[in-house]
Amino acid sequence: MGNESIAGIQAVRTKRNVKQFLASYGFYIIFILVFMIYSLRAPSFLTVTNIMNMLHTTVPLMVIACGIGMVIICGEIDLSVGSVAFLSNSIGTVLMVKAGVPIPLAFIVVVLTGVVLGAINGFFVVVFRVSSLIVTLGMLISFRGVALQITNSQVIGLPEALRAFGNFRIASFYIDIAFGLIIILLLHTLHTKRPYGRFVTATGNDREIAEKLGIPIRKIKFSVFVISGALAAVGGFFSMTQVGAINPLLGNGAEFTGIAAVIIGGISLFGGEGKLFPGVFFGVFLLTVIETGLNQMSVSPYVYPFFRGGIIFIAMYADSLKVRLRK
Amino acid sequence: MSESYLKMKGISKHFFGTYVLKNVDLKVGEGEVLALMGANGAGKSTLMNILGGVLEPNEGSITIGGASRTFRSVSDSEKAGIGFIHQELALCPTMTVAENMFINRFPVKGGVIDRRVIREQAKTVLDTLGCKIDVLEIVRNLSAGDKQLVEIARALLTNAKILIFDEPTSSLALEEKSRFFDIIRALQKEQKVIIYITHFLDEIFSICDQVQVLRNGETSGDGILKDYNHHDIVSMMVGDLDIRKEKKISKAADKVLKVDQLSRTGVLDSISFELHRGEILGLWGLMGSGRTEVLRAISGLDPIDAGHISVNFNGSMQKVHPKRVKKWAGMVTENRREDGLFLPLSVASNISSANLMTLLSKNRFTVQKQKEEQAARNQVEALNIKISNLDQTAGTLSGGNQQKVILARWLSKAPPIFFMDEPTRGVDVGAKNEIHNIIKNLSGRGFSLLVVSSEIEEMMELCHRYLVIHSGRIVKELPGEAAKKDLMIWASGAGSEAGSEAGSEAPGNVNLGTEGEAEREK
Repeated sequence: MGNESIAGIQAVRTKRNVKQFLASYGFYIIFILVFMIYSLRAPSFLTVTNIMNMLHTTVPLMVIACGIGMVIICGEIDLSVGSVAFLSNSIGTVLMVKAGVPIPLAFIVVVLTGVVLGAINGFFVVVFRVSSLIVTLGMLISFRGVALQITNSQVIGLPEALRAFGNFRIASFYIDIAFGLIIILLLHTLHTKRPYGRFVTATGNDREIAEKLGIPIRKIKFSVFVISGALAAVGGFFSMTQVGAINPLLGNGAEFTGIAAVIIGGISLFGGEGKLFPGVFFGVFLLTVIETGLNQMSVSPYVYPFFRGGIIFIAMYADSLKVRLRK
Repeated sequence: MSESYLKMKGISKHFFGTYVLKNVDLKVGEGEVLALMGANGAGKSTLMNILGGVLEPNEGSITIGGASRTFRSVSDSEKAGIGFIHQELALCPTMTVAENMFINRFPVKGGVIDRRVIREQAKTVLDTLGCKIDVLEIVRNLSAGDKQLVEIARALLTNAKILIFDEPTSSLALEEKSRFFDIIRALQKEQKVIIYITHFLDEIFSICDQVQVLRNGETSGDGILKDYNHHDIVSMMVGDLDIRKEKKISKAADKVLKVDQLSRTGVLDSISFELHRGEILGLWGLMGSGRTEVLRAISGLDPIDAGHISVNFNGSMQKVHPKRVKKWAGMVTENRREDGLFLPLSVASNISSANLMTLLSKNRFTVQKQKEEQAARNQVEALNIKISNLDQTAGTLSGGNQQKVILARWLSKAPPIFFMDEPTRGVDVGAKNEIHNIIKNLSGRGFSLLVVSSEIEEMMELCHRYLVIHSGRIVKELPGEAAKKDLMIWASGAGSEAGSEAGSEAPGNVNLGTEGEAEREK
């Protein structure tokens, strides 16, 4: 082998490293670029109030995306999150408004409903071995149907105390931002620092290998759906309290924006890879930032889905590129 | 060493009434390396899976260090000090070295994994192996050899006393191999009990001291390795006699395919051969030798780095790009369910799918249903495919019939060359025989076939000529009447010391890359 070919190999490696760098960190570069462009174009963009507002808007999706993230890291998918959010909070709202159940108790019911709905997903995936794509797609449709029945497809206003909570703030800091950050950091710890989280990652790497290593993959898979269900319920709760009412569109489309955020944040759709923090945090935030910026630049709202779709496409493409680069 | 540390006694295992292991004994002492040998399906893996707790034996007992043991799970076996280093490494590629080593026993401190402890302990164990991998490196980025070290380190971490290595060198590069042998010797000095499974004869003579050979689920020979030579071991593996049918060897007819210096870095090295009209050419080698990769490379499924392929085009040989070889060749693969058949489609559509352009109706635009069915019906009859009707979906057929459907597809297209990768894997004996007859019939009609199979009997039944592949290169060409023993010896990379009847002169050490003499049949 001559020097030329060694030089050739090095050139190829450098090229590859550049590509790998872009695939891994490209999203942060985009994030910074977007931030800079908006700051220059819209004077109101780079202000504490605006950033706090954007974080506030991000909270519900961030919580939901954490659950999706865990499921995807485990090598499965959960499309039902939006409907779980809607159904569990419908039950909670009806209990509060129609039956006069106290708010804390209603909140517990909301979370427990999320747990049960997640367990239903997990049950079908683990016990009947149905593909999670199919199971959760079915649940996406049917849970929403049940919820529409319960709420009669109506907008139901929340008790005053809860409305106040949803937009409660100290100076410009909304209280739910704190809750959202606590949740994402807790899950991040669970994922990276607890044996359980490592089992989730190992299961997502390769089911058979994980089994050989003695990891109880069925329990692990079941549990990630339960976590996802509970977080979807909590995320829906934040969304509801921000609006001050439950409406028939609550959580609508959360599965795709959620998945997009997760993938933008570097969690591979192929499983076993990525982190909730900072990945998912910035992934969700980027989506909000882009839409807020477009809004402040007075772009027509009908254009937003186009941008969102474009970002989702780029994120997915980058993900598959990362996988190809490894080969 | 009167009492062996590990003893397996009278082990039997049967699946659905078929015995895979019959009354097998095995014993290994401390500081001993036992070579466990046997052809594919001899029962080596079953025996080791029993020891590893993956399978439970129907009969027999296991004694470790004088105490009787029963294993119901992998963790039972691990607790008894058994470490199983699988051929397919059980590592999670996206996680770090340290995490992989501790995956099923993370130490927890204050509710979270104690990263400092796992880092330090992982490093300590890797150091004892003389290995300088960063414990925080992601496993995906390691070389095959380093990955294996991580797996060995994981076994050592559990204080495993008994180490089972299943084909440990099949994915290692040359220098990694010698480092690996050093580690085995070091482990031996530490009085570990080592069982070493391999197909490669030359390896066992350099590191093992005991040998046990299995054939058809029974022990066909064991003892101290020094008492045997290559030939003895091979005889024990394949049985004494080859009853060979007379086979007509097709005289060198005109060439239909010529492969020249085909290379793919790290996989294939300077593969050159010619395929003649009407010839069944066998690519023979052990699993992982590169035999399937040759087929994949010449049919354009894998990229190639050097070399070229020519096919006979109207009487003259012309170079073609590997991706275009498909125009001349039909590919019958072992994974018929994955990349051969369209399972939800009907038998008729499956048969016609490679050949739709010849089945067009007069408008030259749509496929004519009657033509399609007629073509399919002809093939179904010719190949004796057992179906209720042509609309039956391919997914409902038995393995043998599915394989025949694939054959039928290519027959209706009639390319001059066929590539067959394990054409009878997973089909029953009757169908196997029929497929063999179809293959022979094709050859008689002037089609040329390139066949890969891991069953030596099948190869011997079919082939007019063999190319023996070892470590990605052709080490030997053998004539159709070559003895089983020679095929085994060359494939195991031990041809150097064979001095076989079929070989003219023995080439040097195969591992160093000396090419086998290309010897044409008489």
